[in-house]
Amino acid sequence: MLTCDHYITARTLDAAFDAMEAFAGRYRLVAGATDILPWAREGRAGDVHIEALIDISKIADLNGVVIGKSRVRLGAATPFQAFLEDRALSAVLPNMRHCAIWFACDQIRASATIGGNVANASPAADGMPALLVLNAEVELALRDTGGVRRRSVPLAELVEGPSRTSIAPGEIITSFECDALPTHGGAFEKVGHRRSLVIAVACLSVAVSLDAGRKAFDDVRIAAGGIGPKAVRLAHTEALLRGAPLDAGTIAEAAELELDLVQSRSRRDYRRAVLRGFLTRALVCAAREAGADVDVLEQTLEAVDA
Amino acid sequence: MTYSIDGRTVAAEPCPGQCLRTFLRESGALGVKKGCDAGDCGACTVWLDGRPVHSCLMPAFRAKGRQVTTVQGLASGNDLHPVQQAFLEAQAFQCGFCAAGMIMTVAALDEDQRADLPRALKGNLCRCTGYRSIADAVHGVAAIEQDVAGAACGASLPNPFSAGIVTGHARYTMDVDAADPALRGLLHLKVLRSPHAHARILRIDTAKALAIPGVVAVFTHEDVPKKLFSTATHEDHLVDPDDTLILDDVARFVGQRIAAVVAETEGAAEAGCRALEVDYEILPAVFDPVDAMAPDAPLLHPGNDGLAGGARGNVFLCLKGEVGSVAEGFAAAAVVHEETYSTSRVQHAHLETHGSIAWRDGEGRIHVRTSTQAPFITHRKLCYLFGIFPHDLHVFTERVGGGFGGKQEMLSEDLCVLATLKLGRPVKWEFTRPEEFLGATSRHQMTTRVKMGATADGTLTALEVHVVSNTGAYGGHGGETLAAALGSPLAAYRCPAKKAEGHAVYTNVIPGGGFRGYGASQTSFAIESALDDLAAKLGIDPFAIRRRNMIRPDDVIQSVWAEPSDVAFGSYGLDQCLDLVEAELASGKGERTPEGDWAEGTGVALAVLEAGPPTEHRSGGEMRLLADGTYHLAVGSTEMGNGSVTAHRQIAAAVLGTRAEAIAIINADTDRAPYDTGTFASTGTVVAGQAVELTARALAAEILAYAARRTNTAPEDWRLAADAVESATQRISLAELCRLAAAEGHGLEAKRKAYLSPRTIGFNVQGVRLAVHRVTGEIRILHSVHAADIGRLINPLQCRGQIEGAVAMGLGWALTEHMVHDAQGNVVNAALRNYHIPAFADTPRTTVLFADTHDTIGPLGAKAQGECAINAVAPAVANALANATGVRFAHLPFTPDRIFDRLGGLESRPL
Repeated sequence: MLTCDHYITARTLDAAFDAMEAFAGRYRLVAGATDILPWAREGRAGDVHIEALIDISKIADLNGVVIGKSRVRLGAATPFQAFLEDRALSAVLPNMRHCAIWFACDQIRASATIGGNVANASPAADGMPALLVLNAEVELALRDTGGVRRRSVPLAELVEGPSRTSIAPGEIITSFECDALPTHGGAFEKVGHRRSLVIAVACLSVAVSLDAGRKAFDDVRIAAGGIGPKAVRLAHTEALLRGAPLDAGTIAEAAELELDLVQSRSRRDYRRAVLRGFLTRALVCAAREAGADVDVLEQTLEAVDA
Repeated sequence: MTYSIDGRTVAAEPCPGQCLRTFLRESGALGVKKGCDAGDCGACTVWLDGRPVHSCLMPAFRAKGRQVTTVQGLASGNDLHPVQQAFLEAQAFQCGFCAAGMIMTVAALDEDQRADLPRALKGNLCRCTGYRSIADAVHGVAAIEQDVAGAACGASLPNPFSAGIVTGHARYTMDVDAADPALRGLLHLKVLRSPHAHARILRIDTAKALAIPGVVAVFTHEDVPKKLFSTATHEDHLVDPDDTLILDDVARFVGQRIAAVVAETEGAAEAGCRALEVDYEILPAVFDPVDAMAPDAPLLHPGNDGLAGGARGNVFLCLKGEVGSVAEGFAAAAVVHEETYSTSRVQHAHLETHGSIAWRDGEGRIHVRTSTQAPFITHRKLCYLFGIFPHDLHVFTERVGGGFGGKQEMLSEDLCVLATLKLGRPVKWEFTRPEEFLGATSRHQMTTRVKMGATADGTLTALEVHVVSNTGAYGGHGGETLAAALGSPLAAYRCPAKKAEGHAVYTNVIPGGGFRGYGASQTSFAIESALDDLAAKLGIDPFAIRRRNMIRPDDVIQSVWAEPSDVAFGSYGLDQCLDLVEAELASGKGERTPEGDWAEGTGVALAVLEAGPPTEHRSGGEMRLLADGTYHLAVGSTEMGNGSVTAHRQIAAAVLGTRAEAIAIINADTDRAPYDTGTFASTGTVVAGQAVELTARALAAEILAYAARRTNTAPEDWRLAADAVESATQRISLAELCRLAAAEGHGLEAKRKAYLSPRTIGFNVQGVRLAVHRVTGEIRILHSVHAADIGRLINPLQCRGQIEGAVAMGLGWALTEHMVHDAQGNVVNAALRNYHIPAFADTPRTTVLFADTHDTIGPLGAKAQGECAINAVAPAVANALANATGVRFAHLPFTPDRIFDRLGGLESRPL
């Protein structure tokens, strides 16, 4: 069970840093706070006493969405529900909407934030592959004697492994800068032991754009989670597909290319098979959403189903 | 800033680590429920500024300055919110524990979300309904019918406590008012559970625990009566071994309670448990029942040797029997099939966890408010353990949030009473969700070898079954589930030679217990799977081989014992059930196979249920005519979502020719209701319902006799109407009659007892059409069909709901549910997040069909139905899976990775 002496709702970054200083080494930051109570109750961490819980979800810097021409800024406290409800946002981040559909349930999505999903660094976190596809850069803030200093780091470098990140002590994730992909189609695939509210055995996020004739891939971005210690981009597969025709043969070849990325020792063959199936399905779904020529798509589907 | 709860301003400040759920409940919003405390079940869902959140995940401080709305604040004035009204009219609940949260989620949905319920309801679990009635409520289907005098039996009437359930005002076990004077000074109890699978306790140092502020007392094995008992509740206590102490100095499974800490707050009690220092001598442990039978296996209960049935060592019970000669039968067979099948250990996962509250009143009587299926047996056990004179103990339930057999067990009451006796103060203990997985009970894991022989036309010549049942660390229900495992699944088929042998074996895992289907489920899975395998070898259709061999009304109902039995055909509708399922599966309804690499298959299985247990089972009813002309009914049986209070009112109303609404019912209370063995073994209708029928008939006769006496006429001249007695010439209102009788000091009342013998027999057939993905192993149920022969339907809506819930639970058992132990005996998935009970998205809409029968034994033509529907589900899925893939999956559950492991070597196409 969780006990704490203080619950501090910070309204500004400075207020948060003040609290972090006052309770140095004896605090924990929370944003959506959807994980901390069960984490403490289930005994995953034993019984937990934290002197201060510092709520950073109300800090202005961590909130708000700015949609630019090529990049989108997402406050770190953006809840996953936003990707379902904010149409302007889902139009430029097409894969995030698919991710959010799979992410937990309405009640949890309303609170759970992208910053928290990344900071927890679960190997099976749904948000990770989706943000990797968007080439997310993470902005972090730290206050030292020189005042508040900010740095940006690619998401792929921030997360090092299960529950391990390069977030420094005293640092707060403030925002994510992502590629705006208004002409891409997105897809998300996930499997667990039931069809809803599962922790992923493997998950996959895809964003795809097509060439002018809508019969070949233009840009392709793919990331997978749950197959190793951290989520990864499938760079070789992306390279193979860029500019390649949208047909069954190409997709089948692509789906085989990087199965060796599956590192999880448990059920490795299963995860490989799952990944192959997911890639095929996700590429077709994303291409459809990107406006693929219907005839081409149907031929492709028939061929892969045959 | 302050907190706004349901429009009230609350000045209280939460503690910093407190979640919103406990803060709301402390502030009086007891409609907010705890199911898991982990954001998995949704029972605690409330609105924060109009948006649903899990209040168990939300730090209470986050609600500051915002509008919190609970189910209690949803209605405006006296009018129910439309969603509450819809839940009432569709009866979209059974135990009702999930309804408070489910309603809050549904009431916030927009039109798009309502059109996609599998997604929209991801965050709310229901263990009772199978979700169909919930979907109906969302779509505005009104399923309840009018309560017409004299026509109560056969009508889909609502649960009498519906309004309380949908508004959150129904009170469950833990919903107590902190200001209740009886509970002044309420203490909280928590237990330290064993971290070892097998260990002797050498020393418990309580000093540090007692030094924690708020800790009042610590109880260890040195503080409890040295009386062995069984936590299982049966009328005949001799059927379960007395192998348990309230607190023992030997731990026999990870999770066994070691010591109890009682404190002023739950937090202090938990801190006290953490501060206990225990020295253990680790003993060798054994987890596999076959290993446990070896001569050199570590013994769990030394001294077990020499008990009945050749039991010795870790074998708690050995049962065997044979009718005819299976040796001759196999010799005469054209084809013999032999295979080993096994089932998994699963948990009831009723959304209300176990728990009880005990207190002592001013006269010294002890009261126990508890979540049990058997208050009277609990009463008896507590009297025995603590030497309490029966009159000085009162055990009762409020609403019980699901049972499914898990509460046919005394798991919390003993420690609360112990602490109350020692401390003189009220004591409450509520299990957490992980404790349900660690320290409650589970379905017995069984491994079943089946050997079947048949002639070329599929006629069975011999049937032999060997069962090894893992009863875990304690033997409650171990013998009775084993007997059930060797019973009805074999009796379902006529066969000249049957033989069975079973061993119930102690191991160092969580004890087995009663669970819907009770041993018969496990053997049904094995035999129904084996019968399809045999049919496949013979090239015979699964329906045809069942019709050829199924029991028929002129057969002796016999398993493997030649002795006479009290099971009899009160009616027979198995043939109808098979016909109904076959026709419905052939209709082509249901979903189409998805596009892609899916294989489709269909499967069928049947199950037979003896209505009620072979052990003794009794119930009683009391009725009284009230001054306003309505009736009072008291019956001892528990209502835990099984619908018995609804059915009992209808039975009484039907007999008395009145409306169900005219019957006020109280139940499951040792002070206020007559004795009842307990609501388990599907006895709610056939035993307690029979007691109600007999009592109502006696009261009707008493009323007519009194009217005759008052008027110097003959009782035959009078008939009982809805609100009066009438003769050809006179009419006396029931209120007037009651007044007349009272003036003479005469109460118009009746009391009757019911006893279960003979026992009638019910039938269930499940059909499944499914698709299995050849690569991922995912299974989708495309069409689920269930036909039941349960005699006359006292309440068709409730009957359908019980079956829908049982089918959903059976699908969970077949597809996802599995308690996993590691090599040290720890349960690794002690949470609903990892132990997957079916959610809305996982549960197909089952077509429920009923055979047209009228039972000659059960009350008003009805039979038992609470359990049996589950027994046919897992084997039907297994048979459909075999039909789809050509591969027999003989071990539950059929998780995608297991299917992949078996199909991976097969020819597989890319997606």
